[in-house]
Amino acid sequence: MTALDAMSIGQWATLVSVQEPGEVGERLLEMGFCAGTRLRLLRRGLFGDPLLVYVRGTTLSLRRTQARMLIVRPEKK
Amino acid sequence: MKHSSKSLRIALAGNPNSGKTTLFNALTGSRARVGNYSGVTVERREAALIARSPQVATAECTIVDLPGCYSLTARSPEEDVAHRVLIGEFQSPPPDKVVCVVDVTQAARGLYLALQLLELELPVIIALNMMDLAPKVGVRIDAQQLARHLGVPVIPVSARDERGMDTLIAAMLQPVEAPRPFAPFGGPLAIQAIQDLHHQLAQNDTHYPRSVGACLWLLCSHLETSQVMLSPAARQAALRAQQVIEQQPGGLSAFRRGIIEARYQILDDLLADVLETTHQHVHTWTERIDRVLLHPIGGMTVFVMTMLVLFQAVFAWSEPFIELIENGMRLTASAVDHFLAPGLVQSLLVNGLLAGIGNVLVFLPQIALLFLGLTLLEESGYLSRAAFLTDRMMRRVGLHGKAFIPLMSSFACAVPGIMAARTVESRRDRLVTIFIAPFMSCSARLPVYVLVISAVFAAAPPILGWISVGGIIITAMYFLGLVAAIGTAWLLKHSVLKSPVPPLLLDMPVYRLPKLKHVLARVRERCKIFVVQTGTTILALSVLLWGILSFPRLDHATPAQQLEHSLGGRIGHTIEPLIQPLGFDWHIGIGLVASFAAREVLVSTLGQVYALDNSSTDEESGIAADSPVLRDAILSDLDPATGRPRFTPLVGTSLMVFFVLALQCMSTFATVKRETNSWRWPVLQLIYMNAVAYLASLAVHQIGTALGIGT
Repeated sequence: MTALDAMSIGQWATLVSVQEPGEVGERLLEMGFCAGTRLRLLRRGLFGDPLLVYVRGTTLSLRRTQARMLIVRPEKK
Repeated sequence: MKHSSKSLRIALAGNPNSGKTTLFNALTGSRARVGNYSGVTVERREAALIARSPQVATAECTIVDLPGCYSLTARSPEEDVAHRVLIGEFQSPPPDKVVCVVDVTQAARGLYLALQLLELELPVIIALNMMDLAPKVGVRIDAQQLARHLGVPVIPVSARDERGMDTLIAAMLQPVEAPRPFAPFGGPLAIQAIQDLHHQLAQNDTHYPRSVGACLWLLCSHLETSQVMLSPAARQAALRAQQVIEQQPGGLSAFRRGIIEARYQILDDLLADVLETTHQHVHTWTERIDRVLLHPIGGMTVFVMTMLVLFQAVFAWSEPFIELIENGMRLTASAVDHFLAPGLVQSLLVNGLLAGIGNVLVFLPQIALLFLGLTLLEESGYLSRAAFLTDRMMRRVGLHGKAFIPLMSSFACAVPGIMAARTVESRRDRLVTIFIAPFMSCSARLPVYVLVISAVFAAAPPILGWISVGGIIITAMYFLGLVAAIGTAWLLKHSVLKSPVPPLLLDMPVYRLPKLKHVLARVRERCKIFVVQTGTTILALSVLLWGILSFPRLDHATPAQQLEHSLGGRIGHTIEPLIQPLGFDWHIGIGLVASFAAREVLVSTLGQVYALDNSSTDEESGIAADSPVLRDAILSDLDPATGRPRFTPLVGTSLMVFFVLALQCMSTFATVKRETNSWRWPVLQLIYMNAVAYLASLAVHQIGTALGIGT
C-alpha cells in the first residue's frame, strides 16, 4: 500500500482509503474516489504537481497534497 | 401527435462539462435571460422552450438552467443554489420536472447527481448526452435497461449534433406523474435515522419536504451555514437527529461518507448491468495530443505561444474596431453639435450621454475577442490543460491555475479580464482574481506613463548605451503592479477570504472541435450582458462625472475656467493639501477626479487645466500624451520658492506609482459590481487600492525628497 503520489506513471491501483479529513475528503469521495475504485496515474506536472488521474471514466487533475492523502494498492504490471 | 398545453417549469441539471449548456441552447435557441440569484454571485439562466418542428408541439415551457454541479450537498455556492431552486426557493415554485444531463462517457459521476435528484422524489428525465462520443471511447450503454432500473425515462441524445431532441422534448412534455418514493439506504443506522427524521417532520412540520433526499440533506448538511429556509420545527428535528448520529462511532463525518459510498455502491451495481466499456483508458486521440500538450517542455511552449496569440488578439487586433467605434461616436457627436445650439442640453447629450455610451461600446471589441478565444479554448478542452500547466506556479502566489488567463488579459484591459474570471470555479479564488485584476497595468495607464516620461525623463541618457530609461521605467511600473497583485492575493487569503483551500479537481475533457455556432452564441451572450447590465452602470457614472465637471456653470468661460469652477474643479482644489505630500497640486487633483472616467483622460484633462488653447490640439484625436506643447505647459508651472518646475522627476514618479496602484476606472468598478452581484466588493476594492496608491506615492515622494533624489 502506498499513497497515490508515490505511484508510477501508467500504473493501475485500487483505492483503499481517503485519509483526507472533512469537506475535502468528502468531496474526493463524491468525485468517485471511493474505497475499491480502480484508478490509474496518467501523468505528473512539472515538479510532480499536479497529478493527472483516471478514475471511473473521468480524467481529473489533483494537487499533490490531496494525492498524498489517497492510499492505494497498486496492481502488479 | 399533439400534447396538451400547460405551463411547465423544467429544470436542467448536470455536471459541469456534461454538455448541459449546449443542450440548454439547443432547446431554447440560445435566447436565455441571464440574471443573478438574489444574494449570491451565481448566474440565473432561464428561457422558453422553442418549437423545433411542426410535429412536436411545445407547450408554454420554461427551462431553468441550473448551475453545473457534481452533487447537491452544497459544498459550493453553485450546488447550494441548485438545491434551493429544486426545493422551491428564489420566488419560484419547485420545477415540475428535472432533466438530468449525464455524460455517458462519465456515467458514474453524472448518475451520482441523478441519484440525488431521485432521492428528492422529483420527476426526473435522464438525458444521456454525448452519445456521439461514446463509440469513440468504447462505451456502450443499454438505455432501456437503465430506465427500467431507475424507473424514469432515459433518452440518449447528442446535444452537439442536436440528435434525440424530439424524443427528449416529447418526454419532457408528458404529463407529470406522481413521483416514485425512494427507499432509504445506507445501512441499518442510516435507514433508521432517515425514517426517524421523516416521522418527526411528518408530525411537526407540514412544509418541508420529507423525501429520503430531503431527510438526508437535513442530516448531512451544515445547517448553520446553509441559506435554505427552514421552519424552526424542521431545524430542531434535524439538529436533534444530527446529535444522535454524532454519538455513533465516527460521528456525522463517517455518516456522510457512508452515504456517499452507499450511493456509489448502488451505481456500481447498476452500471455493471447496463454499461460496457471496451477501453480501460482515455480516448486515444486525446491521449496522443496530451503527450505533447501536457509535456513539461512541449506543453509549456504550446501554452506560451497560445497565450501570446490570445494576448495579441485582445491587445492589438481589437484596435481597429475600437477606432471604428470611436470614430462613429465622434461623427454622431458632431452631428448632434450641428443640430443643437451650444448650451447645457447639447453638452449633456454630447459630453454626458453620448460620451457615456461611447465609453461602454468601446469595450466590446476586447470583450468579444477575449471571449472568442476563451470559449474556443474551453470548448476544445484546452483550458483545463492550461490550468494544469500553470497551477503550480499560480498556487505559489496564492492563485488558481484558471486565473492565469483572466489576469493576463487584464494587462490589456481589466474589464474583459474580470468578466473572464468566471472560469475560476471556486468562489473564493474567483473573488481574489477579480480583486487583484486591476493591479495588472492595463493599456489605459500607458498614456500616463508616456506623459511623465516625455515630460521629465526624455532627456535622460540611455543606460548601458542602449536601454532607454523610458523602457526601464515602464517595465518597473508593470512589475510594481504585479508585486502589488501578489501581495494583495496573499493578504486576502490570510484575512477576509480565509477558508480551506479547495482541492484542485480539474476535469480534463476529451479534446473536441468547437462548434462555431455555440462559440459565437456564447460571445454574443457575454457582450449583451455587458452592454445591458454593466453598461447601464457605466453610463450612469459617466453622466454623473459629466455633471461633476460641468456644474456649477460659468458664463462665457473657456474650458479651463469652466473646469476649475465646477464641482470637480473645487474638489481638485480642496484635496490639494491632501495630495501635496504626494507631490501633486490642484492641476493633478482635477485630473484625478476626471480620470475616474478612464485613466487616459488624465492627459486631455491636464491639457485643459493647463489652459492649452484649441489651436494647439489636433481636433481629431485630442492631445497626445507626449505632445511637446503639453510638456512645456506642465513644466512652465514654476515653484516660486525654487524657481524650478513643480513637476519634477520625483513628482512624475509619484504620479506613475499612484496610477499603477489606484482604481481609477469607473468601468472596472461597474464590472466588478456586476460580476460580484454586490456593491460591497467594488467599494472595498476602490478604498483599498486608492489607499495603497496614496501610501505608496506618499512614500515615494517623501523618501525621495528626504534623500534629495529627482527633485
